[in-house]
Amino acid sequence: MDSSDTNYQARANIGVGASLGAVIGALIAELLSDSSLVVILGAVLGAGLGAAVGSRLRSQAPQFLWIEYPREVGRRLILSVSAFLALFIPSIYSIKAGATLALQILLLSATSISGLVLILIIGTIISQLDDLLRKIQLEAIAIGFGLSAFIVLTLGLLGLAIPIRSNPLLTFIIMLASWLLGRLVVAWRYR
Amino acid sequence: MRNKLKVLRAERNWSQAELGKLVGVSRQAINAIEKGKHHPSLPLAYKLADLFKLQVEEMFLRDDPP
Repeated sequence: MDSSDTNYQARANIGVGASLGAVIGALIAELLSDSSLVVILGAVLGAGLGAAVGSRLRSQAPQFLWIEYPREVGRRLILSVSAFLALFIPSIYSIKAGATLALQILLLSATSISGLVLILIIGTIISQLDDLLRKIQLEAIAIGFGLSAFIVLTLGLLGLAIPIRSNPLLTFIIMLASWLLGRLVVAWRYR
Repeated sequence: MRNKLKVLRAERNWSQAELGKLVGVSRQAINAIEKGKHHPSLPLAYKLADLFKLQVEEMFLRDDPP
């Protein structure tokens, strides 16, 4: 691997780490508080933490955690995730801030469409990966799906017995965390 | 299934990443194949065999021959 590839991987790790961190930070903050300021702080803190983890991943993480995706694949993924986030966060705020119904519908529709595009792009990317990387991703998705279904079902049943603060974003966080866990497990298996 | 990939690669002084580039797969894929944790697809097995100018069955050996 030459130095330009190494630099690209380092930047990609920082970009992906910051994006994922911002989403997780914002979602956790949104669960904990109704204040917009707290959500923004959560996103900023999450982005910083994610970028720090991403920048260290290359040099200090165990080798099995390094996944070197082709340059074009990484670029498309970062672009599509960024576009989704750029619409997702304002659409949440438009609802919280009590924006006009037309603006809320416009932003939510745009977010849904960009989410659909993101899913299609992820599908295309997975189909273009090599044998092993495709296997890793599909197994991680399978583990993530099973684990998140189990947790959501358990929480749902628990909610019948004791009152739990319901939030649709919680499902998203559980799915994301389950996929990340699945990804770690599978990467360890094929290390 | 066993394979001679590690030996063949070492003979040519190639890194896993270099071999991966030559056959269009990631370093991780080469590493997993060498360690026997992942079996390559037929197209990849043929690519590897062609690269080392061998037959597929000379590179990939069955543990339980018929």
